[in-house]
This record gives sequence, structure tokens and C-alpha cells, in this order.
Amino acid sequence: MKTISPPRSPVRLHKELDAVWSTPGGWGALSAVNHTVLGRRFIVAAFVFFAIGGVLAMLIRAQLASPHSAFLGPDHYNQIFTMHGTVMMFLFAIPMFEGLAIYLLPKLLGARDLAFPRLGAYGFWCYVFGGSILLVALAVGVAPDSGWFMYTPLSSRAYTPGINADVWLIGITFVEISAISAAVEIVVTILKMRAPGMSLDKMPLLAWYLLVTGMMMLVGFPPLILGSILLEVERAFDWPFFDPARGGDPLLWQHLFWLFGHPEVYIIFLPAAGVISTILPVLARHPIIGYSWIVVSIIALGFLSFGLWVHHMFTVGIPHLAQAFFSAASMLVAIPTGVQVFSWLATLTSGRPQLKVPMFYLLGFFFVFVAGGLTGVMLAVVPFDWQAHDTHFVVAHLHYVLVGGFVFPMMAAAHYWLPHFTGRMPVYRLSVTAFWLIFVGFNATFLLMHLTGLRGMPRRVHTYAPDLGWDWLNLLSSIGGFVMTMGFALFVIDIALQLRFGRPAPRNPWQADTLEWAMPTPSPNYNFAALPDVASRSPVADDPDLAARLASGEGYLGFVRNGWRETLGIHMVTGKPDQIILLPGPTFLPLWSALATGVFFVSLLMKAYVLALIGAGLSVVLLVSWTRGAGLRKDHGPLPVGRGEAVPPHQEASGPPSWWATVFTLVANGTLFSSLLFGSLYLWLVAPGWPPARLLDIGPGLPLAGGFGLVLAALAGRRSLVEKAAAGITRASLWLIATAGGHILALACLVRLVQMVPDPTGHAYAATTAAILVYAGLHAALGILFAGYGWYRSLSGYVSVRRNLDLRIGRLWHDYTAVAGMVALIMVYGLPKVIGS
Amino acid sequence: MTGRTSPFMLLAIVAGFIIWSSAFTLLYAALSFGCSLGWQSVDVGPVSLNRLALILVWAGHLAALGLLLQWCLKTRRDNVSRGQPARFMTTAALASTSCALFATLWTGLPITVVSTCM
Repeated sequence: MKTISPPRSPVRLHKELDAVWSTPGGWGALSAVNHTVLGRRFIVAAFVFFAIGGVLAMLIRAQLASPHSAFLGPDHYNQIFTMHGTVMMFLFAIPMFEGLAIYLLPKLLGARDLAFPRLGAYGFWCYVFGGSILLVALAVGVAPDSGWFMYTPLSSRAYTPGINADVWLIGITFVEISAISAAVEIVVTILKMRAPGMSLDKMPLLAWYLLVTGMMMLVGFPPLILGSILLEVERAFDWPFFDPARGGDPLLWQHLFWLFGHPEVYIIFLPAAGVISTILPVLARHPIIGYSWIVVSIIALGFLSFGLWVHHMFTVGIPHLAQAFFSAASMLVAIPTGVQVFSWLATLTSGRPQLKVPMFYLLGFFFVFVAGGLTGVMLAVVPFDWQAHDTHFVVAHLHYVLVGGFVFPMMAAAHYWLPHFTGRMPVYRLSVTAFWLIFVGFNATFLLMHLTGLRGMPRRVHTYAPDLGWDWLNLLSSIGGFVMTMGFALFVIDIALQLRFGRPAPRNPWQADTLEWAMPTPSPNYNFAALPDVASRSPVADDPDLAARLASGEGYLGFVRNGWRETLGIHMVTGKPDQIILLPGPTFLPLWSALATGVFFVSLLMKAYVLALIGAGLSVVLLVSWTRGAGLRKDHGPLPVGRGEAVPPHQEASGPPSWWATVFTLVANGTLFSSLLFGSLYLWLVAPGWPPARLLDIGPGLPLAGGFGLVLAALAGRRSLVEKAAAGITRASLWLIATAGGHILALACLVRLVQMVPDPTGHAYAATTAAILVYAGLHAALGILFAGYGWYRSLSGYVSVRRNLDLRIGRLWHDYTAVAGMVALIMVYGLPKVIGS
Repeated sequence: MTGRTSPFMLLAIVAGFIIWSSAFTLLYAALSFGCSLGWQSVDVGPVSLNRLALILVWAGHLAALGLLLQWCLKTRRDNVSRGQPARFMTTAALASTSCALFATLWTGLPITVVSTCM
């Protein structure tokens, strides 16, 4: 091993670090895993999708500008409004904030990269490929056409026989992989990779917002993924989850969709609110007022937003008391939102605000978002919702919330952080003109639309009669829409001009106090030549020379060791360093893995199931191959990190990022399973056509044997860790073989049970039972893989008493599989007894 | 490392709202079960079995939140003299639990007045 280089000049240190952290040029750029590169790519791709969604919106407004318009026929119109919503929600809003988070988080937190660079790259490619499926479908005229929420039975095979709905279900599920990947990466990075000394109370508010958002994504997205899988299985194999004639229920889709869909609004809003909490105090020249209360409000919003989903379903015939629960929660959620708005206003009025370009957009946000919030409270009142449901009033409301709560703050963010991206300052006057065009155009479009809706114009109609009083309102809305588009076009021109003619930006142009400004702009590949020691919420304001000191290597890890990409891991509460995190370099593996995943999804779309299986297998092989060469073959113990401190590499630490990532992935996985159980129970209690004619008729033997296998696997997996510590590799390997044996036994029992389930096309009971068993079986199968992988890593020398991360991650999987599998077995064995009685 | 700066305190900050989530989910589930099984037609004293079940679920969660709040108050008192981040964590846990208690009270309030299965 090389020894640590002595301190050098900033230029020499920069060259050494750059050699380790840089991304290759040419085709090699496709192997990039660096967060700065990936963040930029995410943002640019999201903006391209935003432009496409904007063009679709213009087509909608052109169609609705006059009554009896022949511009678009109903078939095309259906595809266009569906794709507008889909593109804006799934391909613009979420990826845009992910891009901002991926670019900004390590810089804001004082780290050199995100926790899982290759996962970030994989997520990016999945996003681009999944989005491309939807765009290609639009280009060839088979785009989704059932509305962006794909309600059944309209989206079921009977009413959408083509592949339009399949494109949505498969394309969006593909993109969701990217969202879950990003969520895991964001959460783990925030908890484990902040600068030393940055305890939770000193963490920038944007990180708090992103932490809660990431957790919400882990819990909020799985219901939609499950719903998409179930609907696709119904469409492809006729398993009747949503068919009321065979024990299914279309409302189950609405529940699963809105379980995702309403938190989604807050998943979009919270990062934008984090942007406001970051920019506003800087431009107001006053520290944020109410830091602790804002943190509590974010947490409250994160939870309460999951109690609102049924307010999208007030008109479907749910009992009054259930409506009252959701109505109460819908009103309640205004309080934590209000706390934040008042904190921002208090900060603004306590400081000396500067009317810079980002501030224009922040003021625009206040007006638009508060108006949208107020109409949201109106819609939370059940009798009013009954009147306004499915009208253009709701369209106006959701645009006020989403454009006000996301687009305006993101425009502020663009102007605020563009000097960081480009190293140049904006061209001032053009930006202001663009703002006014967007602001006036937006309000002209959507303020009037409230009235159109109150006058009874329903959503999703491609034309209307001339004598209903909607003509002039629609015409003015359309004119407003085009004015807004001109504003966005001017914004693009402004950025192009900034890139070409903007004057060079000073290092900290806004006099901000967060760490992303303690580096050169555009930022170097490694962010910080040395990692800072943070002692307050305003590290840059506390030490104006911080950037120069870090550039000269004064701080943690201000050197290159063994050519490793090193950054620090910390105790998640106190911020005390507890490990060196070794990150991987550029590789094409994420790209190949995403392509293989793409083969799987496209094959499903084409009903080429053999090819789909090959794609799935290839994806697993490629994903497992990420670990080749990863890890350490010998113990290192604590290594010096600077400032007289020493900590071990993450492979030898107790809570490394990959362990936490597995925990959070299992949280998402558990949510998906819970949603499946909810679906099964919901159908039993609510759906028509129950009880089914045939139930699973089994004795206790098979479930008991399967349960024994699962428990054996979990206990043996735990034992392998103990043996590793106590008796060495041979006995540990034997326990890993026992783990695999337990999973094999469980898998055999589960496969046999699936064979005994009545025909899944006959009734939703059989379909849900089979789905639960397949879920458990899949986990047992992967458990065999985990056990085999742990065994292989042990034999290859990557595992020791200290370096037992592979086995600990495996243990998490075996434990989860045991619990989920037991619940599944109890459910499939017990439910028929309850139904029968 | 003191207990008040352990990762466990992160859990304490969200524990109140986890209880709220449990209350919300179980109330909705119990209502669906009750209506499906006809509990609204079975009287238990002055209330129906359905409403009684809902009140029990609600009261149980309120009690759990009360206990948690008590623990947060004690922890906060014990940590007043400690520096950050212990003070921040205990204050956030206390505030968050108080909000969750109010949220549970508010969202469950309709149980007392609104008809159950109509």
C-alpha cells in the first residue's frame, strides 16, 4: 500500500484528486458515475421532457380555444392530455428534483459524491429508457390514452384493447426504478455522508426536506408499482384484480394509485420548499426563522400527506365516516404548510430582501401556491368536492399547486444555482421579462379556469358546444397559455445567453452560507480537496476563508491514498466521523444493466415472455457483477483521515451505507407487500362477487413446512455471522449452505401451493392468493442467491470477522423473507378458513 | 455516545406520527370490517358495536401518544443542560409527538358524531 502523500500546493492536490475522480471523455462519458455529471444529465433530460410536456399542453389549449374545434380528434386528444400529465408528473417533476438533489446534495453536505454512484447512473439510464418508451409510443400513435391516473375499467383490456395502457404501465414502472434508486441514495447520503461535525441540528434545511422526501418515495411509490404490476398482469394474463364480475374491484386501482398519487404532490412540493428555505434567507439577508419548527413541519407533512388519498375518491360511494377521516386529514395538512409559509414570510420581513431574479420567482410562488392551497382546502370539504369534482376547477387547482409549488421554486433555483453550474452570472433584464410572461400567462390560463370549472366544464373532453358560457374563458386561457410558453422560451434563450455571454461568477455570488459555495465554480469532480469540519449552520459565513483552506488540503482527507475515491461516513446524529467510504469509479455496468432491464420491459410490452425472462436473468447477472472486485481482501483497521483522527474503511464499520441502503430498500419492499395484503383484504371486504366458488383447500402441512424452511434460512443466516466470528470459514460456509437449503425448502412448498391455487383467471381471490405466494417464492429464490453470494465472498477472501458486510446484508434479506413469507403463508392458509366460516 | 444522540432518537422524532399512521390505518380498516360484518346494527349500550370498536382503537392510540409525550417531556427535562444535538433531538421529538397527538385527536373526532356505514 502506498503511504499518504504529504501536503502539497492546491494546484498539485487538485491534479492528484482530479486524476482519481475524473470521468473519461468521448464514449467513456457514458461510463460516468460522478454525481455532478449525473445531476446535470438528469436536469437536462427532465427539462427536455418538460419542453415536450409543454408542447402537448399547447396542443390541448389550441384544441380548447374554441368550441367544436376540429384541430384534434378525440383519439389524439386523449393521448395528448394523458401524455401531458404523465410526462409532467413522472418524467419532469420527479426527475428534475432528483437531478437537483443528485447534483447538489454532496456539495451541500460537504461530501465528495453520493453514497451509490453506480446506482445513480443505473437510475438515470432507467429513467431515460423508460421515458423513451412513452415518447416512441406517442410518435407512432399508440401512447396511453386513459388519463394520467389510468383508471380501471377504462384502462382494462375490455376498453383499451391496444397496447396504449401497457405502454404506460411498463414505461412508468421502468421509470419508477429510477425513483426508488434515487430515494435510497438520497436518504443514505444525508444520514451517513455529511461533513464531520454536521450534526442533525446543523444540517441545511434542504437536506431535511430531501430526507423526508426520500423516505416518502420509499413508502409512496411501491403502491403504484404494485398497482401497475397487477393491472398489467390482469391485461396480459386475465387475472381479474379489478374486474367486478369476477370478484375484483376498479376502486382497488384508485386506492393503490392515490396511495401514491397524493403523497406524490408533497414529494414534488417538499424539495421545492427546501429550495425556498435555502434561497430565501440568503436573498432576505437574514437567517431562517423557526428552523426547528420547519423541521417538525416537514416531518408532519411527510406523514399527514399519506392520509389524504381518499379525498380524490369522495364521489365513489365511500361511507361518510371514512370521508370524514380523510377530509379532516386534508384540512389538517394545511397547518404544517402554513407554518413554513409563515416562517418564510417572517424571515423575509425581518431581513433586508434583495429583488434579484430568484426573488421574483419566490414572490410568484407565494401568490400562486397560497391560492392553490386555499382551493385545496375548498376541495377537502366533501360537499364542495361533490360539486367541483372532475371539472376544470380541479384542473386549475392542481396547476396552481404544482406549478406554484414546484415550477416557480425550481425557476428560482435555476437562476440561483446556474452560476454554480456554469460559472457565469445571468443576463438580468431578459430573466425579469421571462418571469413576467410566465407569471401573467400562468394566471391568465388557470385563474380563469376555476370559473370554467364552476360553470360546469368537465375535464378530459376534447370539445364543447358554443352556448354553454365557456367560450371566452377557454379562449383567454389558451391565450394565457401561449404567453406563458413565450416566457419559458425566453428563459431558455436567457440560459443560452448566460452560457455564452454571462460575466464570470464570483465564488460566492449571493453571499450564501452553505457549503456548495465553498468550492470553485463550475465545481471540480471531487467537490472538496479536503472535507470541512462543520461547527454551525452557516459554515461559509463563519469562515470566509473556508474555500481557500479546503482547496489547500486543510481539513479531512486532504490527500490521495492508494488511488481510492474516499469520502467520510459519519454517525448519523452527531456527525462524528466513523468510517472512510470507498466509492467506485467510472464503469459501463450501469448502462449495460439498464439496457438489460430495458430488454425485460420492452419484451413484456411485446408479449415476448421468453425474451423477457432472458432480460430479467441478464439484469440479475449484470447487477450481481457490480460487486466483482468490490470490497477489501484484508483488514485495514482505522486509517488516518486528517486532523489527528483515524477511522476504518466502510467494509469494517458497523453501519456502512450499503447496510442502510438494504434496510431502506426493504422498507420500500415491505410497503409493496403491505399494499398487496391490503388489496387482498379490501377485495374480500368490499368487492362484489365474494365469497368465491372455490377456495384454496389445504391442510397445515405444506404451510408449516414452508414456514420451517423460512425460519431455518433466517436462523442459519444469523448463525453464519456468529460462526464467522467464532470458528472460521468452514463452519460459516456450512451455515450458509443451510440458509440456502431453508430457502429451497420454502420455495418448493410455495411453488406447490401456487399449483394448488384455483384457476387465477376465475376469481380475484385466486389471483390475489397466487400473487401473494409468487411474492414469497420470489423472495425465497433471491434468498438462495444471497446465501450463495455470501458463501462465494467468504471463499474469495472478502469476508473476515471485521469485514462481514456481505453476510450482514444477506442476514437482513433472510430475516425479511422469513417475516414476509410467514405472513404470506398465514394469509393464504387462514383467509379461506375465515371466508369459509 | 449518550442515548440522546443515538440513532434511536431519530426514531423518537417520528414515533408520534407512526402512531398516528397506525391509528389512521386501523380506524379505516376497522370501519371497513365493521360495516362489512354488520356491526353497525349491533348495539352495545348507547352505541353500536362498530362505533365502540372505533372509539377503542382511537382511545388506544391516544393513550399510546400520551405515554410517548410523557417520555418526551422527561427526556427533554433531562437534556436541557446538555448541548446540541441532544437538545435539538429531544425538542424535535417533543414537538413532533405533540403535533401527532393533536392530529390523532382531530382526525378521529368524526367518530363521535358521523354515521358509520352510510
